[in-house]
Amino acid sequence: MLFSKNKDSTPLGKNLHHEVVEHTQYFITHIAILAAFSLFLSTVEYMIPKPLPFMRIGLANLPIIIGLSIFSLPELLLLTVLKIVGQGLINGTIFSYIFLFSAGGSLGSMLMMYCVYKLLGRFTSFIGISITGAMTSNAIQLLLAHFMLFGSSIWIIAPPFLLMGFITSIFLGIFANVFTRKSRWYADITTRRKIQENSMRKSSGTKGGLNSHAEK
Amino acid sequence: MQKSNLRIVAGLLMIPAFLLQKNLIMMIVQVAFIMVIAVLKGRKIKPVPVLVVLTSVVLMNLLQVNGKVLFTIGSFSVTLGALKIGLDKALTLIGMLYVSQYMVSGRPKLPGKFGQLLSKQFLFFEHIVTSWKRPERGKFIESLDVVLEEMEHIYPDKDSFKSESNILYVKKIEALTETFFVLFMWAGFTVGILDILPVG
Amino acid sequence: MTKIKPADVFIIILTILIIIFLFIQTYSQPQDSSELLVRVNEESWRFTLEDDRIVHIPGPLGDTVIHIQAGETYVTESPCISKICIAAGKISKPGQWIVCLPNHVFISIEGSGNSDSGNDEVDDVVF
Repeated sequence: MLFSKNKDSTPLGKNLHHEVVEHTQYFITHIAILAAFSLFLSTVEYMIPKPLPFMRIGLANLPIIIGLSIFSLPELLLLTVLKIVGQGLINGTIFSYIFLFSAGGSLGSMLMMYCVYKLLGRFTSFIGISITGAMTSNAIQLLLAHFMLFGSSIWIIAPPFLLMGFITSIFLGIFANVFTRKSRWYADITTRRKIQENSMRKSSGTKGGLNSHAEK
Repeated sequence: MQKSNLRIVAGLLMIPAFLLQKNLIMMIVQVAFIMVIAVLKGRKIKPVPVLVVLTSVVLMNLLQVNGKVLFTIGSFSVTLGALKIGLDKALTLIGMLYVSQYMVSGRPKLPGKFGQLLSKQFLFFEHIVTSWKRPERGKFIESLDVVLEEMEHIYPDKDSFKSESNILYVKKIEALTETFFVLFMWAGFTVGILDILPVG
Repeated sequence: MTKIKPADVFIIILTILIIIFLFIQTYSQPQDSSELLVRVNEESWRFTLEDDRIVHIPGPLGDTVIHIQAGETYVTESPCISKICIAAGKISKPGQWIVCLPNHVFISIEGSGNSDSGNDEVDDVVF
């Protein structure tokens, strides 16, 4: 849906085409913005001193959690890939096991969160979603670590690792709840998004749907 | 070839020479070498995380007893085989980490649309880092909003990336240095394979 | 401050249960650490029984080849004359042992798993 271009060649149609492309440009920028925030948060997390290095907080997943309520699946995928590659480049981990752990965890967690969001979205706030994401990510990382690096001895630290992830994910979920309620930017984006969706839906139906552009 | 991509290629060529290395002593040599060139190219080495990774991977692997017993602490035996495996894995991890650091030190530009998006991401990242001010109590989200909204207006033009005139191409001397690095790694690999040294 | 919805609670409870279960599983089980111990005079070797392995143990007369497979251990080659150690067959439980006296090799399984009976246990071996 995002990339479909209306090839209607009447003057009105060309306008619509331009609008759609502009909106596309907009939202790709927004994906990049959230991805940049992911990088920022992962840098912040890196600087927080931790007694044990494997205790992760998962700050960098926050933009993805918030993104669930803004973007479609392909866009979310793009966001996640940007996050993973960006982190890999900035930390210079791009060809190490660590990268694989992070990639696997992030992708799996995003997909899982998307499923939960789609299926249970009405009954759950970002808290439940954040917990799901964190647990999935941690589980995947444990499995990868087991097969690639540590062998069976990793399972000894698994319970505290999961517990830590659980507790931090609750806080992240709470923050996501508060943010989506209070943020101006977020409200702005979601309304713009709805307008675009409405106008695209209408334009692919009758020609009389162009009036909705006046709202913007 | 673009200058920024040279190290990526060099790094990729070095990786097999490292991953296929059998000999532990040569592995240490290779890892040390990688760390040296990473530092030369401006990356920093933080000793603490390196040591933490080293010890934790080795310890975790020592838990799986295997091989000749070297010494015993209480009821826990340190075995030679497990030690070797642990060191091998830890060194591989550290080596690959620093190869990545090295490869990335040239600020590579990925081609294509994705590369452009990635560059946008980094552009915004730098903006966040430089312009986000510590918020006062109660206004945290508002301060975030400010930064987010600012970034919407920094949309780079479509042409700005092409107009970056500093597409530098590789100079001969750089190509030579990188080739030397790659060859050194492969020499290390060859020494390792020939079973000249112990611990192989 | 923030709305908590029903599925949130469900997920929270579910996750807590899973974590509690994992804690119990991992920490209360007696460490199932059966190991193979091989002793030759003053030196010793230890191996976990989980991974299949072929081990060469050097002794005064030569190398003894020991197989660890599917949790069972047996000797396949030995430089001794009588080859009793090979004929001794397979051991797999803590307390069981195989000996090759001419080559000063003593193989046993140690661990906190269940041993059949106290009879099989040997306190020490002197050559």
